Amino acid sequence: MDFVAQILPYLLVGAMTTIELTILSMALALVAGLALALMRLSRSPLLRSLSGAYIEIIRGTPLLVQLFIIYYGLPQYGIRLEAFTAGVIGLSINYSAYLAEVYRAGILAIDKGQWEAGGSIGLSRAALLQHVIVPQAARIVLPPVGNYFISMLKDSALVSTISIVELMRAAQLRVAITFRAMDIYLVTALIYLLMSYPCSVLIRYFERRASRGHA
Amino acid sequence: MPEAQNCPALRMSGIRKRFGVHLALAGIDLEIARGEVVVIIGPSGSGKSTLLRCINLLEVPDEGRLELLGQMIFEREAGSPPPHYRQLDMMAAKARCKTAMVFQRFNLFPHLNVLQNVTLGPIRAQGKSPQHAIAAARTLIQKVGLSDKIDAFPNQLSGGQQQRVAIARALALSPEIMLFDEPTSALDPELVEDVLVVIRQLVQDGMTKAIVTHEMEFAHDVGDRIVFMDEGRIVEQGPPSIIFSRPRNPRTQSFLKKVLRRNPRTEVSQ
Repeated sequence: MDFVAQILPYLLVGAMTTIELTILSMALALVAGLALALMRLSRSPLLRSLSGAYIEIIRGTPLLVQLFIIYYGLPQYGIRLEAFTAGVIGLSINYSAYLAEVYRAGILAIDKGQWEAGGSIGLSRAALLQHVIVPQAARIVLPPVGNYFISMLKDSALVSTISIVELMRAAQLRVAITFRAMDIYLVTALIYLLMSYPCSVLIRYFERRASRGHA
Repeated sequence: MPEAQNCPALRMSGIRKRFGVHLALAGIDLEIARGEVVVIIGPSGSGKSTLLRCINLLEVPDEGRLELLGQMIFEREAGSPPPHYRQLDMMAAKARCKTAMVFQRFNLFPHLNVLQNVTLGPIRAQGKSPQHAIAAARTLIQKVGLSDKIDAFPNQLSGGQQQRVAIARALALSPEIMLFDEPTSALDPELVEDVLVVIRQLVQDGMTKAIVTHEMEFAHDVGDRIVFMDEGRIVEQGPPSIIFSRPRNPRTQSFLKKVLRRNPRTEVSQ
């Protein structure tokens, strides 16, 4: 127990970075994902194929490779990003592609009658999306988006490889000094669990609320 | 605009629409005078709803011309490519600022309450001020008898109540032409009359209306003119007294025989 108390402060500082990284990246991914989904559903063939290509490329390549390209590759072209910035960019680019597909499915799940009713009262396509379609789709996609949030919380461990001292990296550094790998990684796993479990409880709560209807 | 006053509310000519191999509209010519109430009847699949949906361009005709209140809305020649979507948006916008539609399945916005459903169009499409739109909406909601439900959400209302909200939502746009697409077909039988009563009241306001319905007694009572459609064509039309008692076309005769047998009330009212 003494040992745990001794390493815990280091790990908790790392966990704070993990949380910052996840919240920031998720916020950016949510916005970018919506934009991508709307492009994907646009009637303009150019926007549709741009977004389609982006989504396929990002989903078809490993997050780790994407992070390495941003952090280790770009400096070759004179673009030097701070590790934290590179991590946020990498995570949000990666997740925006997945979230775009989630949004797209949510938007397509909205009844055709809603589009027709919105159109028949004279709403422009943009106003129709903003006031009728997206608010309803948001309820549908809330649970899967929540799952992606939890998933990012854990995937963020990958940014330890580009020298961001988040929870995983903090653990590795302690192991390197103390050699007590089992103890440290078990505590680390527990901290991840303590961060993600409340999130899944929250998601289930929202899920239940959403399934009760729209009131 | 004295010139525009002479134009009919609606003039469509040569409207054709195909869904895959099915020819839904096989060349429709129709004129509706201002203030006229036209009721479209016919067997299911005869193209009634498609015709109505071509008026506000929810369906885009393959060919034909559509004018509303003297303004050219849509024109497409046989075999010409479909209009670009931006062009189509403009055509649809023109059609939709003159029309409003009541749907078979109500299509209320489930995430908005009654008041918000009714004010969304006036505020977000027509740019009315919220205060103005809310005041107008309250009057309309009262008119359809739902003042006590003004804060309710659609899933808290019966089908008949939802359809009355939908009617208020359409009226809030102050359209020059109201389109009713089988407004009572999705309702439980005991709720049909509630909705018909509301529409009957509206008929007296002088607004031009096109109504697709299977309610023959209602059609007989509110229609200035009955249009009978079959297989994508207008087969016969005329005042209800003629169509319902002395239809000339054999297809009209057999259709009316079938539906009136099912619904004997209508024969009483003749």
